[in-house]
Amino acid sequence: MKQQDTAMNSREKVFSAMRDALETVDKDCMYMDEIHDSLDDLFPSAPESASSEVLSLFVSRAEENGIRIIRCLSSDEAVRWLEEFLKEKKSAVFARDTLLQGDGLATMMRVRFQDLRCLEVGDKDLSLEQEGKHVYAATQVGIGSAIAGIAEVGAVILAASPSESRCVSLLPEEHVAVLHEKDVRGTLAEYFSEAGDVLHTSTAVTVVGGPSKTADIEKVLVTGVHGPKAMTVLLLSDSTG
Amino acid sequence: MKTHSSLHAGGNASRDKTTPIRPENLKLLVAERLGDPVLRKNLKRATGLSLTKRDAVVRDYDRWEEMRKLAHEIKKRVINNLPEYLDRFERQAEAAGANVIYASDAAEARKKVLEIVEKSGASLVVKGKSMTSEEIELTPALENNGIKTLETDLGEYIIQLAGEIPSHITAPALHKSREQIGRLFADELGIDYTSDPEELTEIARETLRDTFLNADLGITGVNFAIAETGTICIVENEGNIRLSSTLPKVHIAIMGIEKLLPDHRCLSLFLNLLGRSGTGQRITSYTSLITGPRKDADHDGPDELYIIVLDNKRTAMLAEPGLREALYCIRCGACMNVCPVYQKIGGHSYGSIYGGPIGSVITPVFFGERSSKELPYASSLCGSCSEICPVQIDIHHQLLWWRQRIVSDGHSPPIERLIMKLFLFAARHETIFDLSGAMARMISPLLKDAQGGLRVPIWSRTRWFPPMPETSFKQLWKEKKR
Repeated sequence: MKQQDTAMNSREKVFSAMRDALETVDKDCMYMDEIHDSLDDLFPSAPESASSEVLSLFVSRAEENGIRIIRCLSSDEAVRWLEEFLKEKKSAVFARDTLLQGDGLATMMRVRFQDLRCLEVGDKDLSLEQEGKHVYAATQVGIGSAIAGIAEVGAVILAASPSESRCVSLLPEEHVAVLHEKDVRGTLAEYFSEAGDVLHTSTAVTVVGGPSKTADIEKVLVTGVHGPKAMTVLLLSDSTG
Repeated sequence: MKTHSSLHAGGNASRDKTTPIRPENLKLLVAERLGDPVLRKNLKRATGLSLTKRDAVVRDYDRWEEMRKLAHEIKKRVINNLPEYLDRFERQAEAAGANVIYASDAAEARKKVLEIVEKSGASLVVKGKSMTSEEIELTPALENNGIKTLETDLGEYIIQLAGEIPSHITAPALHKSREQIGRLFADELGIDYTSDPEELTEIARETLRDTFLNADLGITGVNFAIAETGTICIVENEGNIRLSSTLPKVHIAIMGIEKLLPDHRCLSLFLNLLGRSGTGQRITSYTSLITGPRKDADHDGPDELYIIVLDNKRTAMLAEPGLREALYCIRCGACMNVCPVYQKIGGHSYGSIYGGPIGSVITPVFFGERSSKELPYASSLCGSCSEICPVQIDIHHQLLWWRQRIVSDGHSPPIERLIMKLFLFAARHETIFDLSGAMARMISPLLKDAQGGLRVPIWSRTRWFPPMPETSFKQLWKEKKR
């Protein structure tokens, strides 16, 4: 009870200090709808006809950010690329619903590669109550989905969900994200104005603009400090549905 | 403070820097740093590179100036209606399951963080880079209470190993050369000396990985807080902030009251401005948008999220119309990179974690007017800071505002006050004014140096001081009128 009181006091103290400070303030400033209109004007949504320009801008800017882009005409092609890619790997962790529904992809790779340690988000081994984070950290590749791509900044958007963990894109040495061409938007403003629910419901939405990097030593760019050392986006053509 | 001689940097050993980093020591700190060739080289390289990279990505937009203006207007709206936005943020964040805790000053913030750390039984804490936590000197407070606390941003890690404070908002170890960092790592971590940035980075990765995996609690700052959804937004490149806010069971985020934005649409503008202005990136590698702790369906994330909302004299800035705009600052560091004074003297000279032009505006608020009275003069008032600021803060006019305040509060040097009083008297009495002018014109030729300038103490050691003209303006006026 006593703690409750002091908590209230600090809050009240800060709020009354703010109100006192602003007593004589000129409230004349832009209204929210004016702000939104200005944002729409500065960052107009790209017309349908310009979607190929948006897509190629996304690809070139993502590549400038150090993201490898692999364009795939079908999910079959994406699976084939993954098979080739995983040949030389020892372990991988898959988010659910990546490319195939449920645990399809993990199961497929398990069958394909006897020597590859295939884990899947939701596995007991990966749970936080167990030593899950250590298992993640010992895994070579994390494979999951991106919910959007943003051309303006060359980045993809990930969201924690029942099928996607945060660690898939964070602890393994390499990160692979599957992105559908139809989910690529021109600007962040465009994405945020239509994203809606996910911004309220997902506890962790992450805009990822490349692999982990630093320039803290003499401004020399080094990739792979604390997060993944390399990042690949499998960009799926819309025709695959 | 530990200092490492620049033997390994191949230059002359720099003078040991022993003056305590406090704003009242400005002149001594500057003198020490101007005499350090390694530092000068590091500063020149870092600020130059940052500006070049920024220019390249700002060119993406034809309407950059309008973007800055709109960002200014959004911040103005938020700051002028701060209680409403903060209240909305608090309600939304708590609805998402976060605990929002207020702190009036640094001591209270430290106390509340310690309470949470103790309650959770944490003994190992990982920290993401946060200027606000530097401001409240959180890490030493935790360490003094026996809680092992590690900075995990590479730059901050270097600074912590060296026992220093950051010298730049976005690049804390900007003042150090690769050789100095290599020597530091060799001494402190007991490894073989290397000056290769890739190797040094790999060493930091390996050293800190285990710490991340075993940490009980993570502490980060906040770049933006979204009122509409109660989301905190944290911007970084290394992934250490994602790790600190994902792996430990408890996450504490510390933010100043001014960090609010209305909604995600506004955030999109600020993300574009921050990355481009700060590090010359279109966007940084990771922008985390965190809304509450993990939910039942989530596979990972902290069980508890505490958001500490800090006043610490920000409401004093809010109350002062001359300084209010300083609360619009998004801590990008562009004003430091572009400042001709910062480029020469570096961040530590300003005597506070907030250096450069915006630092000179806000440090007097934190350290008091008297001890910071020289800071607003550590500027040529060229206005580059105001021109580069992505939220259009009129920084150099705020420095002028401080100069006026310092003089009117009687903090200017006694000799200056005396001279100004004499001038005021003379300017009000025509005969005395004419007489002093005549006297100065008589004395002037006696003080001329070889270049024909005046010998004025200190000034004319490095600069030319124009001699008095032979005739007064009044005389000239009379002659021309004829």
